Amino acid sequence: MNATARANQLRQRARHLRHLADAIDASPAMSLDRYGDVDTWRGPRPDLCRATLAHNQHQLHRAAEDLREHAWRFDEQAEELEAIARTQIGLAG
Amino acid sequence: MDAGYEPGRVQQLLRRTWESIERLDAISSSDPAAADALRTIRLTRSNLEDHWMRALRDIERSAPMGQWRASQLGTFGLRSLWALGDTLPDHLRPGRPIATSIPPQRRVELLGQLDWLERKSVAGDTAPGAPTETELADLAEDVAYWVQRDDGFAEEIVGLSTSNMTVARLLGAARFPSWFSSRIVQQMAAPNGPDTGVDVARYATSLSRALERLAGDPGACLDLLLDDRTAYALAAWDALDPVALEHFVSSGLMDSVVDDATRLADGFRVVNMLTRAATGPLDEGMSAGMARGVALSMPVFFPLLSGGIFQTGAKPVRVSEFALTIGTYSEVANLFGAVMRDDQAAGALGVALGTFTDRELSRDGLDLTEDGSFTHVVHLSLLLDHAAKSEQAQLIMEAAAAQGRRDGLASVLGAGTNIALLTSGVGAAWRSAASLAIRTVTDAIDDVDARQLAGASIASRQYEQIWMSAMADALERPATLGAARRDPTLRTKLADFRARLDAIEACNDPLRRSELVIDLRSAAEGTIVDAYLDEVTATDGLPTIR
Repeated sequence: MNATARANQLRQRARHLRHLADAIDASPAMSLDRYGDVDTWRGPRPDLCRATLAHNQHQLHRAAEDLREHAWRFDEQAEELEAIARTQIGLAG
Repeated sequence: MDAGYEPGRVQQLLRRTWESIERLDAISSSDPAAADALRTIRLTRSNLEDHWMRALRDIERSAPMGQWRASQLGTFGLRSLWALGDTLPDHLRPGRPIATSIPPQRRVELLGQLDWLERKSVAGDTAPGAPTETELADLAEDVAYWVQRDDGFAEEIVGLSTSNMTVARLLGAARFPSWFSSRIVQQMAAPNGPDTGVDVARYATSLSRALERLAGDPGACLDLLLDDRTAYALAAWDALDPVALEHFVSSGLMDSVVDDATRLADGFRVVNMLTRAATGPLDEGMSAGMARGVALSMPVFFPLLSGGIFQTGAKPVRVSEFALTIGTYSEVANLFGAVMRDDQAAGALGVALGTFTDRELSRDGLDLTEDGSFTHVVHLSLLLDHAAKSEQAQLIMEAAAAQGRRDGLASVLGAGTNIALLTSGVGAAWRSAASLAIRTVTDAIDDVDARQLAGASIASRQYEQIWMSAMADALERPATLGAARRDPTLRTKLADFRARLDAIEACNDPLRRSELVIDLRSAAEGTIVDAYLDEVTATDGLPTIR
């Protein structure tokens, strides 16, 4: 696989990871706490459910951020590869 | 505690929860860079299914009790959650019905039906001609009615349970009192499963059903585990369904203690009995369900147990709060050794230890130089190291401890180490989260090169955690920050140390992680943080595991 094809592949992966991050952020689980507040249910069991959800939401948020960071790195690598490819074309020309 | 719910909003919440699960389910990726994110998604989905949906469905199931709904409305229009009759243990139910003797003719009819259904089941509970669910439910309703009114009849049915396996099947087909289910389990388990003349596999399935049924009443489970003969039989008989037994044991050892902290002493008595058995007849291992149940329950026992470990060998491990000696150091190590023979149980112990370490090191107001309580982590880690008789158990424990840290399982239990701070239902939440971590580890463990463990141990990994906490603490101390303000070179160094700490936290490869820790230790030598690190790591026990 040449540098341009590899760069395209990395950009495609970056797009996919961003799409995944957006899907996580848009997931109804991220706003479920609004529907499960103390006006809906209360007691030890709901408290526990809310606590685990808050923890999971924090983890999901972090996972989405990590995906975006991966995507950014892939784009950076793709740019570097394209720069190398341009240099090679320049040298060949 | 104020408890209740608003029916209309609960319906909406149920729909949103279901939609959340479906949408999380739809997120997929084959990109390796998304593996961590997918694991987080799986954990969230599993929590929503195991806790939210289960709790909401319990409420939904209570909906037909509409005729008294209005009378239960409180000031805020909320119904009491205690209206969920199915979840109530015996002691919270209305009093027993008035005692009445079963009419002789009715007794003969019911015993006859019981015998008839058993004969129909001889070819197997699912074979053609076996009793239908309706037949079982009809008979179960009638037997349950008379069991609650006539103790003699109840005892007669209990006596039949070792020869007629339909008896235990009835427990799942109607609502029987827990004391009756307990007696059935006790009768069927003692002395040690069936002797001769019965279909052993069917017998084990029947007893497993009874255990599963009883798991909903944690106090009753603990009472039964306190009966040495029953607990030993359940630990020794490996034909029992491991999942049912795991639920039963963890309900008794963990949920009952979380529900009622005064039962912790009883829990330790069970641990004491199992310790004695592990040094004798259970030395070669115990039933998978018992091992997993014990291991999963350890978060409530580790804080006091670790405080009782002082010396190795023949010195006692003592829980002074209850004036109870669990056994000698070697005997307690034997118990954990027997537990670890099951891979999943080893994983559960690893997750519990990793979580315990995190909780001990993140307590509010912890002063690493003065508060020696983290030496408990060291002592417990050393004991588990001694207990691990195989490289495989060591590997699984270490990987599970790391996975537990990555999944942030300490937060499921809360930051407090005091059992009284845990809330009702935490046992189920813990088991669900821990199970996912254990599955992740045991699924991957075959691909892991055992040589990765060379030179490492569960104790040295915990040491790394303690050292990392000390380093993080050292970097933020007023003396360090003051010196950094005066010295730009030191400021740069400290920024480098913080970046290295972050890199270590983010590193999932155990070998690479150890290398990074060693590098950071070398880099910190001779700097202002070095003296503080020396002070912390000179604490009793720590040099032993370096």
